[in-house]
Amino acid sequence: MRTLARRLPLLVFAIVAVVLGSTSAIPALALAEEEERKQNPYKGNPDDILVGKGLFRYYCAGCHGMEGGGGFRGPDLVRGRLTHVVDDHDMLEVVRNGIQGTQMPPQTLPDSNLWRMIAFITDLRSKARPQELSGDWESGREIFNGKGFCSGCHMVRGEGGRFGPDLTGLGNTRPWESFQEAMREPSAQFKNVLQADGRMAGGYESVRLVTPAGEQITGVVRNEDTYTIQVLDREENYHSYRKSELRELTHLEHSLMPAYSENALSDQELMDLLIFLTRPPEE
Amino acid sequence: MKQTWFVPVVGLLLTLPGLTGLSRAGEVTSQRLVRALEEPQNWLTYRGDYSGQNYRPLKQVHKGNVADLRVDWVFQTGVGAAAKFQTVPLVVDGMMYITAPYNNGYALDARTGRRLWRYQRSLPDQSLCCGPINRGFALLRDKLFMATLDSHLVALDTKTGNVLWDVERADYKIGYSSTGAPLIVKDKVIIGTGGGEYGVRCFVDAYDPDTGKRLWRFWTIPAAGEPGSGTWLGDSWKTGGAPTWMTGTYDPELDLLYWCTGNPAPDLNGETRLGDNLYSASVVALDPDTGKMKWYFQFTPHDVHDWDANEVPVLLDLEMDGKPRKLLVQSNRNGFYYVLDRETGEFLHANAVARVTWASGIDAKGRPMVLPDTAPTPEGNRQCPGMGGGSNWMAPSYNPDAGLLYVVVREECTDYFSSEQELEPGHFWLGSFPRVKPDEDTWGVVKALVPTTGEVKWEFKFHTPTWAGTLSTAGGLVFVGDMEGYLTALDAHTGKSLWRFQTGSPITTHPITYMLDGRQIVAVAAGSNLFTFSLAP
Repeated sequence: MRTLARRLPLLVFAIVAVVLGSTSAIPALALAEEEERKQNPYKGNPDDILVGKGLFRYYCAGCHGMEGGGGFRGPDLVRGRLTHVVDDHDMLEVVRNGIQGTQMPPQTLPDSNLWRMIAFITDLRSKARPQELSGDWESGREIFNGKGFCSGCHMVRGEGGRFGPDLTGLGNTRPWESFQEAMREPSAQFKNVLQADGRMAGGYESVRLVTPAGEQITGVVRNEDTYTIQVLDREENYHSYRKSELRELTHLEHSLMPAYSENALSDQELMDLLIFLTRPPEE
Repeated sequence: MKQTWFVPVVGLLLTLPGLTGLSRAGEVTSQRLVRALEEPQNWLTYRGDYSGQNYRPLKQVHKGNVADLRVDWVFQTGVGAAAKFQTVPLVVDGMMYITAPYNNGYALDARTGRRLWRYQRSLPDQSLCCGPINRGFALLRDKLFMATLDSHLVALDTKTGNVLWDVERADYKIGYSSTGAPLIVKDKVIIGTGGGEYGVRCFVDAYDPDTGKRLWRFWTIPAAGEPGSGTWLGDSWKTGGAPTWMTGTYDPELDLLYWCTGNPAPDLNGETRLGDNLYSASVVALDPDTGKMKWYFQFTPHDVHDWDANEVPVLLDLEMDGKPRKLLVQSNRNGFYYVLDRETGEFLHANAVARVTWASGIDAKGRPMVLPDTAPTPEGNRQCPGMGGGSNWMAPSYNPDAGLLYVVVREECTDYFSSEQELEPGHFWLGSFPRVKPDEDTWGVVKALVPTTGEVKWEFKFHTPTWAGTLSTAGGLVFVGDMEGYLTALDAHTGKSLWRFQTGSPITTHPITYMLDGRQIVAVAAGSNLFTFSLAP
């Protein structure tokens, strides 16, 4: 819609020019250029897609994950619904200019390289098959607050726990397959949350530590530096220690999120849950 | 009679400092720079003196009282660029001069941190290499010199910040840019250039401090027909990089200037530039009067991992194998630590200081013994050190009492990708798009080396690989920053952490120290703020 609205004046101009019998080639040319700009010259070319993959991993993977599947800051670009993008040309503009009001920064690469990155993403998108969500919002609400035990750790629209990430609107950035994987195998996605500097993004990394008094605490790392560590435990208490005074400090290799088997929650129940997380109740 | 003769002559001399090379009282001359360590109240050059040792014989702050160090004042530039405030202040008799990102410059009252003037440069609307950083001014007499992102050199008046002259050095539109601090040697302003990621041919320049006239230019890549030109395939020398983005060091006795060069271009694909690619990833010894090269040593022939050798080389006079030697040492981005004879460039010693997977060692002539299948590939090839290097440009420092050299090492590995890439002037030309590290732990470390053998005496580990350099003092301390914002003081003999302060932002430069009103001050830039510390009066 956004794209069409922007091009409308040009289209009108072209039609008017044709109707008036203008011999000028300019409007038609401008239109042709506009059409050409929309096309990704590298689309589908395996060599360029490979270059694009390398580019993507350097410039984008810190937020969007190595395979574009999303990370702590950046949404899933492969299976997600792209809210700012209708076509390749929009994607070019978004990558080039960034998205104001979000953490998406502008990139100053030449267009040829931006197109190659886009070729990589569109190739992945063409292979991914997003599934239509169909389910029961009310059932999702009951699972979230009841048998799923989700609300003990996660918040949705201002209600719930604070140990895990806020899940409000999750389906807008996480597609069904990604959500399904996160529920069935939470540790599989755990390691994908890398920051640009190679470290884990805050919020998911978890540790087990033993305090100077001998108390054992397991929780998520909200900060860690050369000297200190701050951990949020299951009871939503913050703990701050000098690392040198701890009896033990172990970085866990798995997520603290429990895995849900199909016996625990069926695919239909997960879908109900995702619908509940994604939108408020319909009036 | 005598008196009437004397007054006008002295008056004439006083009015012609620029022409005669004489200076007004208190002005910093080239002669003062040679003896910079004799001025503990000041910090006169990027690395404090010509040796690059980043050492001060100050010991008011020492192991026993450093725990009481506290903030004196903070100057907030308000120029936002997290982790990009890489300036090293110059301090001269109560005045402090700093640069800030986007080519801002300030004069501060060193006693209070209050601003006396500000210089703001208008920069072109183009992304220039490697962020809007600047590492500091150079100072001579009444002028400060700043190398700019858009590849100019400007001279500012020390009292007002007024622009005295402004010369274009090279075309920023095709990728030349400058971030390093110039070096004053024998009344010349010496300055290198960035551009190794843009497919330009780089150089070191010398300028007349009074007029901005260029006096000489040393091209870091020989032109066709010149000695060394056969180390580049075809015309690849024209776009071969070999940038000079850090500052050099100088030996006044040998009258030799040492400047280091960076990667050949494109960085990670060597197919189009077969050969050793002289004088990339090297150190060159230049005659400061003419820019003529006396010797060179290449650390990484035909580099394909972006292993710039740009770290400022450290000059040490030490006994080696029973005889006194004039040494030049560097902890290189390629993961090895090197010891050279700085009179001749003779290779004396090397050993690994980081995890190294690309070479089995360094042979007797100083050439790396490269292992097979270590070059970047289209599918990605994990190698160590990573793209940030083993060491990089983070300042090493030396403590003569402890006899130790402190180097900063980044322990990380990288998936190196290569690909064909056409050169587009003014744009990144890596020949690849590498760099997201494999999913494995990374950390930073300060290592204390015996400088003649490379033996590690102690290590201090950081949570994250750091971009901060070190400062060492006669108080038996090593000051160093980290990416989580701590400025730390380590015991120079044991590596034990004795003091720390949380600045609130990554530290990506090295601290300095000087005396003011009888008190020893430590200063460091972090975030967009400059911090000074001292013991309570």
